[in-house]
Amino acid sequence: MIANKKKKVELISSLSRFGALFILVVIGSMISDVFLSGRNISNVITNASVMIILGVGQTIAIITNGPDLSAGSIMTICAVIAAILVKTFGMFFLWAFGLAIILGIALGLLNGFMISKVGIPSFISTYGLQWAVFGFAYLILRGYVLYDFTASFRFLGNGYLFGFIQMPIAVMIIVVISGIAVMKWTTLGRRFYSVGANSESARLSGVDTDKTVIYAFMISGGLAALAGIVLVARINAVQADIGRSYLLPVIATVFMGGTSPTGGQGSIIGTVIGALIIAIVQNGMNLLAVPSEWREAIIGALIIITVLIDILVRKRFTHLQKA
Amino acid sequence: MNKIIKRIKNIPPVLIVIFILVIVFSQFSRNYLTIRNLLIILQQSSVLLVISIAATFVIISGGLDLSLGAIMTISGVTTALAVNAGLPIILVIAIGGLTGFACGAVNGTLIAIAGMRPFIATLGLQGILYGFSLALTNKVGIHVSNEKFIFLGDLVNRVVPMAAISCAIIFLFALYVQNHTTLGRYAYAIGGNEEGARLSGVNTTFWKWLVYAFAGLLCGLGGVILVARLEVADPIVGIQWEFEAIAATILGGSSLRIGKGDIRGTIIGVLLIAILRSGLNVVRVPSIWQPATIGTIIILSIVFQVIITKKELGKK
Amino acid sequence: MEQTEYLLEMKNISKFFPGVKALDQVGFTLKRGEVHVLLGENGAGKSTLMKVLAGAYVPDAGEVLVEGKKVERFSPRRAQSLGVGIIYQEFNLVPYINVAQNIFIDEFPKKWFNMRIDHKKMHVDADSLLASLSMNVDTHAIAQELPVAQQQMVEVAKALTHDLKILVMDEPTSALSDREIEKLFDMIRALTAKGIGIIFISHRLQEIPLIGDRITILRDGKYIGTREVRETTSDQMVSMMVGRDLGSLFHRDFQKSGEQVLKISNLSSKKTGLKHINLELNRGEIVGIAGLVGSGRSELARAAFQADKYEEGEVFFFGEKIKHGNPRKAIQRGMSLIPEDRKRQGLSLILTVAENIVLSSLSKLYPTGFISFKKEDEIVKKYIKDLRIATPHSRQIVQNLSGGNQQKVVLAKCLCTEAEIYIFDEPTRGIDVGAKGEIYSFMNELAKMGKAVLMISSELPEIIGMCDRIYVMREGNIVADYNKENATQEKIIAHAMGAKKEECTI
Repeated sequence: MIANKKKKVELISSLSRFGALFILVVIGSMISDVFLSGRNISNVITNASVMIILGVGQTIAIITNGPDLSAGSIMTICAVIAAILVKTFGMFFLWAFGLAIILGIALGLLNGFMISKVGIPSFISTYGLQWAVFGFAYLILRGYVLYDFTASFRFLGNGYLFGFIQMPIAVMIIVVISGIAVMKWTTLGRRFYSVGANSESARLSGVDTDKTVIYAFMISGGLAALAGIVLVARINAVQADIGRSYLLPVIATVFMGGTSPTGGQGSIIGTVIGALIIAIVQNGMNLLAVPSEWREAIIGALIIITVLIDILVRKRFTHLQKA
Repeated sequence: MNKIIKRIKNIPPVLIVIFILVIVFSQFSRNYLTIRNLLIILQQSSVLLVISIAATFVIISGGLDLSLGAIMTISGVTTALAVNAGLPIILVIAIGGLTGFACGAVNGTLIAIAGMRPFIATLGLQGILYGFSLALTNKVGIHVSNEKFIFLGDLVNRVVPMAAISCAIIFLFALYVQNHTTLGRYAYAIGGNEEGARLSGVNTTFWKWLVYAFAGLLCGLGGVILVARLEVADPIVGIQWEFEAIAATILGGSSLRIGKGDIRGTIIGVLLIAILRSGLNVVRVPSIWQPATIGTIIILSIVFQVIITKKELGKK
Repeated sequence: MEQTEYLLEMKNISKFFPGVKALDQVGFTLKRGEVHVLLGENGAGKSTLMKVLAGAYVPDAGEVLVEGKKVERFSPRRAQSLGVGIIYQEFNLVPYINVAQNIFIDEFPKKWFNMRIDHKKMHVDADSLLASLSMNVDTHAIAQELPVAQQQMVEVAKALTHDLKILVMDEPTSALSDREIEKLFDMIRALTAKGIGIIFISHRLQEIPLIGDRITILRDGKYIGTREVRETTSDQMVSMMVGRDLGSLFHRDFQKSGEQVLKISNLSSKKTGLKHINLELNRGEIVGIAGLVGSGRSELARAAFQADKYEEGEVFFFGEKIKHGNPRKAIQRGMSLIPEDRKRQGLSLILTVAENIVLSSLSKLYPTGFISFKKEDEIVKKYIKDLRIATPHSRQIVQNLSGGNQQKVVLAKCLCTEAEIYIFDEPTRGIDVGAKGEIYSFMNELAKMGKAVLMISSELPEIIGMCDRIYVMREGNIVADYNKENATQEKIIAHAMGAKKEECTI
């Protein structure tokens, strides 16, 4: 009986997410005729793609240990490096992408190492790394904007797969499917969940917890790099703070998707829905021409409100359970 | 002989790092170890000290506040608005402080009463506050020129560092709160053993709320002084401050996760950051290099600090 | 006036936790100036009942009357203002602040119109309070650095800062030496002389006649009965607590032991306080480790399992020395640990039964790294059936199971690794009698199959009932060893306590 109630809470909690998504779509279509146009919808999903790619990594990090607050900065520096390698050094774009992603993974490794081997809580070490990495990105680009890349570079952002799927969406779908596969069907995914749920129990059960945490942050770093490259290919320009505005929405995305801040619970599908919600809100703000200074505030408020509602729903239903 | 070695071992490693840095920097420039330069360092680092003791308070109580820089920023903005509206100085200070207190109270409500995780609540608030700051300033800084107000942060006659003095007063006030008031003692109690404190009849919800609100108040006052010193309220000036504040706390020996620490230790942490910053100028590191260098050195110092603390704990 | 005969009345208190009825209509009364002993096995509901009285838990049913008046809206603060003081078994002082501050934690003495804590007065008051307990504790000392006995005195002094009427002491003697216990009893007598009612939770039958007036017994969350201590023998108490003859629980097919599988030689660790441990374990044996809580038993188990590092000594699995081990290596080599603290160390509570059961065997079951759900379901169903784990299905969240079934999930996790050596650390703590019997019979099965079992337990009857050989630990040392023929509770206790006095614990 208690188990049923608990299931019910989970169900209501996830239904409320779909509900919110639906309501937002309705509101969106009311405020603007453009909203439901094919062009706008594909625009929303493409915008969401970068966030989802980041969000998948973030979800894995949060399920395993804690938030990767450096994702926005890793995204930036990797995008900058890829752009410079191609633009300044004339490197073949695929090699540049590869090197950038390797750099992202390496920074993730550094995060994982500081968290698991040194023992600095994740929100401190990743927050710290963020500032160092942003500093380097700034150092490399010096406030300039690099723009106008070759068509092959831009294909990742503007091209079409099989002639009709936008590349960012295609990349996003691949990332989401592999993410779900890893979390659900591999022993590595199991280890991510078990370390997040109870690290000591996992260790005593023979899980190499340090390594598992490092892997999670490596994945997060690698995906952040990928997201950065896709973003640059899409907007055809890069500057040293390109990823800064992404941190807050991505964290929002993950928590709106129902991933538990204490770890061990959560899903990538939830994150996808969360990202769509945020993308619609951002799109709505564009359509309504909300001034840019308010956008971050609205996202911040959105995080607090959704997490608050989730807490209240859970409290209410656990209360009923007692009576 | 053993005693001397023991004494040397007891010196916090951060102090040794500071000592070495000072020696290195003074080799690069004769102007480094001058009274004038020291005064400038004091002026520049004093507001960071205020934000850092706010961070220390929250960390002692077992929490975390990523919105401290944002609270300082928005308080600076409301302060500047109040100054330009021609309000008396006392009222201006009160408005700045109250803005901070109110923001901290929002954090406290979300965390202590609603039960949100500190980092989510404060990260969310950070976004909201910067939004308000940008909107209130139309994205450009608000200049203040009221002489009476600017005095609060001025280097008067090039010798009296008013910002440092103002911040020192706030520090003494915070030290008083830490050691001689219920709030200070309960911050330790909640950080050290929250359940134990609750079972001992302490209203942990209220005191936790107050810790965040008090940290907000400190940041608000910090914002007032910063505006007085810079003579402008910049809508994004506080970005990265909470990181340096948390770093200063850790470097000052207050460890995370347990109710230990002291705002006096935080002075050392702030000192390290201040000396680094001024030293990089002396060594003529181009300003573009500085964020990356400072970020990296701070992270390395935290890594060392945590490793050393761990070793000491292991010995026991 | 009739109502006020009782200082405290608790009527029909019920409390449910997910999957467990922790208290089922329990009643309890306390008179002025009496010491009322609350007795029961681990998990019988004693601590839960006292947490209700402390206002830490809200009961799902029932009422509490203090001095004849019904108490509404219980909270720790309310309980305190009513004169209820509780000394918990676990450390409840704030670790890094000093003694005086701990004593006055809920109401510091103030001066300057309440603007400043009066540290001076606080230390003077704390000193006089401690002196009234004839204790000599430095009020400037940091709480965490005090010995346990003194921490306890600080807790008592803390309770006395209010108008204390009811004092609950949860197993106050468990970590004390004989002399300290004497002192504690003197203090209790002084308190009762003032009319304070004491609720004394204990496991040690021997000390009950020394201090108790009345005794109430709980079993599996139910009220069993209240007796006058003078009129009750130890045997009666035991049978009320256990509800059946203890002997029938244990069934053991003893056999000749086989080859040596685990050897620990001269193992020492400064961090965990283990000193020169030598231990051997053979196939087909169940070997017990007895000793008080804190004597180093769990530390020894964790060292053998390579979960904690040790500076000196060697551990051999099947004659092969383990170097730089970790739990993963230990499991790979055929060892398995059922940890002491099920919720913190044994299980991932928010994961499912199936996910928990296969956690230790992931690489063995799925060498490719991909999970086969078909295979997983088969294996998990087998264990659910074999161990009779009461769960609606294998994808149930473990948190929702009862303590006994949770413990069976831990056991299934260990069995799933197909280990040869099993270490059980307090395997029956906090689970009901039925599940206990099942766990004993599984241990017997394991031994019969030629596996080796090391069992740590605080419950001497189960150690004596189940084990071939018994090691006794005290202060990080192995101080004695017995085989099943010459082991008695009295001898083991004497060694465990380091005293000649014959005492009995349940």
